Amino acid sequence: MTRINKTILPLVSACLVGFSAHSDAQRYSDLFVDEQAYRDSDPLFFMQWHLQNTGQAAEAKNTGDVGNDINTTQAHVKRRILGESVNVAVVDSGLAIVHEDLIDNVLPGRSRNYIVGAADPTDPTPPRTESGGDHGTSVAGLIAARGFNGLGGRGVAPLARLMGFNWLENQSYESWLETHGGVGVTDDARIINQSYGFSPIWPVPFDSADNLQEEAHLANVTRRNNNGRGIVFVKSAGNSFSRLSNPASAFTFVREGTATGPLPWWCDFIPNDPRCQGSTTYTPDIIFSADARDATKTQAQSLPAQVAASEPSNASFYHTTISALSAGENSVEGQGDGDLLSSYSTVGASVWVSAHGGEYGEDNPAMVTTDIEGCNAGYAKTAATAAFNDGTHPLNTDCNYTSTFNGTSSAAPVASGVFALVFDANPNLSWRDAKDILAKTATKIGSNFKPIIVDTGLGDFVAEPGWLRNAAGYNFHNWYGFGRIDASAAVAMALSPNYRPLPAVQVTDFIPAQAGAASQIPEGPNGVAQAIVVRDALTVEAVQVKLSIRHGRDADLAVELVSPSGTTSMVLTPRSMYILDQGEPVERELQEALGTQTDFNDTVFLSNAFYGENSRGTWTLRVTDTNSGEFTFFGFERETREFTEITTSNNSRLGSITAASLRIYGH
Amino acid sequence: MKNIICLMSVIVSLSAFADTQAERDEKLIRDLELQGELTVEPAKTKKLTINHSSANRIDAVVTDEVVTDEVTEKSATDKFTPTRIVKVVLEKQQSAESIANELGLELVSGHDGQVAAFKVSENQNILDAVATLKAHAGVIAVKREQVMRLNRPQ
Repeated sequence: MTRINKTILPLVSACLVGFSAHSDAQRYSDLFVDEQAYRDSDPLFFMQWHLQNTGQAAEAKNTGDVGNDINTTQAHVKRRILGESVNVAVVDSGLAIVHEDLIDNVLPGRSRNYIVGAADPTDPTPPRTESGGDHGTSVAGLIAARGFNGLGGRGVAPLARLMGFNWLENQSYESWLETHGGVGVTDDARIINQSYGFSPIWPVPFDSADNLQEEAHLANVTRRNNNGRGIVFVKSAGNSFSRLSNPASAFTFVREGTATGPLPWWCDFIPNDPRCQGSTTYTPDIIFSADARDATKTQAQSLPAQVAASEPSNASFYHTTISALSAGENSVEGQGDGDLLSSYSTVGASVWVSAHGGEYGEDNPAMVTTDIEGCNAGYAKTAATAAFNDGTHPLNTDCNYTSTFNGTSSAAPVASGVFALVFDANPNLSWRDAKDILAKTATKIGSNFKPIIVDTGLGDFVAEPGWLRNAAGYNFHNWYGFGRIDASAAVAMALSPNYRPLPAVQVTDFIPAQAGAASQIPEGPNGVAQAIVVRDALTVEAVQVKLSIRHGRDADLAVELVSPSGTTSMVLTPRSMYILDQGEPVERELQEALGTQTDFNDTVFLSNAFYGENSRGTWTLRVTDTNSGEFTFFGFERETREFTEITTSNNSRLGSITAASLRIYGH
Repeated sequence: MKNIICLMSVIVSLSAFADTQAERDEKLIRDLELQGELTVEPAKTKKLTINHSSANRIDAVVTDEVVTDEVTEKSATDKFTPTRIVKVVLEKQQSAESIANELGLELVSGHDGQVAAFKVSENQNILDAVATLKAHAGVIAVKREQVMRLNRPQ
């Protein structure tokens, strides 16, 4: 019997794939023969700065930075990798499956319409009466708008196969199962794009029945589907760098100094003064961080209003979280300050890599992608829109495209497109291999980032340290993950015979902190530390921290994790808008429906910062109360368009850690 | 004279600060407009109301639509619809399949884990099924699904 050396199998496989791609260099010569033809074959390609940034403005006032793109040209033109062999599911608001620039990439009969009573359950095209754009249609265009057809622009993977699911219009668990690797529906997708999310203003428990169901399902399909190669679940980090919505008006606040008896005589003259308000409670529609409204601070000097892992799916090992990048550096007094993060992008230690999501398309470029067809629908109908969208632009007379799409909603599909190229280059790769390749080939950006420091009242505290280099040699930043995606470098590594796929994943249990550790959280910069001993010697892929904390003001808290190798990851930056505990108690019905709480109970954060390090040894978890003074944030009302300052006094009692543990994912 | 100059410079700097703050606020509001967060449509404002079918138990939260001239909030959480799916967390040794067989429930997910979701058929009483699951020795936690549009495009 022939014995096969299993260690060389991956190398042989990779060699064969590499030879195959090399010998197929003239593949797709019917689509384009050279780089010039490549550029000219889609009329809006020249505007798509995320694919090739030549300093275009894409109909905005300002231009982007030359070279700040995901570098697709080599992958497309030299390697001829266009994503054709890869199925991508777009779980979103809908998908216009007969859009002129999508139809040739849409898998017939594979999409789903989850609206009850839909005429065609396989057609999630939004109704023509839709006001505003269809989010999913624009997302799909960024992944795989058909390339080289003389229409519109093109996707990152311009020949990848699309399926669309309007799950956001229904959001039932049964349809969630179908759209997330469900048998016969999305089980053969290699990538599932999820440009959606939820921005809680309270620490969410990870072990809820809802979340545990999803985790169990994702663990299963990532292990079993596609012959064990799994599915990449790409997730947008969120758009909450500066603000969050107030879900179901859960947060209400008693105004200090509001009138409780007859109004003062002078209220006729100054009716907006809080002391003249008849109501004692205030319910904002939107909540802004203090830094967001601080006119003396740039984004690079500001703390985020939320970390991505505040939403449990972004604290999951099975999701790949993507933050968003602008077309150019943030400009301060006419000079770029090195900050490439999109102004809205949620960030955090659970971000894997960053990709372009642009800005708003007015001052700075947004993304150019597909829109619902026709000038009586889509973004052409949105009030605050650019001239490009409304039918007056010579390259968009039918209003089938938009130049104002943005958000981490855009960054996620850009990343999904790159994943499609990687799998097209080497279909033998697993979902974790593809993630590994994106991390290894990402470009370090924003290298002049300076640590952000907050005054605790009792000393300074480094709240956002910026780039770190871990003990395995990986650079990591809470804003950019391992850096900006490089599609051509990723494809080259996927094709390389030297790439070694990852061994099977191993997961520890949640390992508790050592008994008897100090638990009280003092005010000031030093915090309280607990040790957690890990005996398994795994190569770390991700670490989850599970925490239960009693504290009177959750927004004060910073959570850091230090590995046995000495790498420190800030898993929860302070001044997050965990502000529900500062408001009035939430009605019980709403509390149950939304799962609100005012303390940390089994709340999980995830960090990718330790990638490649050895897990064995003593980890240190440190929780710090970074604010011994007042805490300010701002409410905003849509109707009045007014900001209201909300100031809360310090927690009257010291907080304490009631439980802490960590879990290693690795190999 | 010095005092006047000092006072003037304070007024000028305060005025400049106010201008800067106004610019920042305008930028934040403009960003909201461009994201469609402030869309003013003379349309329907959705109000959250809660229907109680029995004391202390939420049966459904539905929306009333009121025609107004006010801003329309596209709230992601304006509707909670209970379904016939029940999610459970199981004891370690408990099999979801055995519970499904025992109680005549359809196993929707969780064939090999510590969690499971069951579908209660139309000819079974959903509230009774939830109560039975809660009382089951192999079950740690039970939650009847409420569909809510919590997730939003982002």
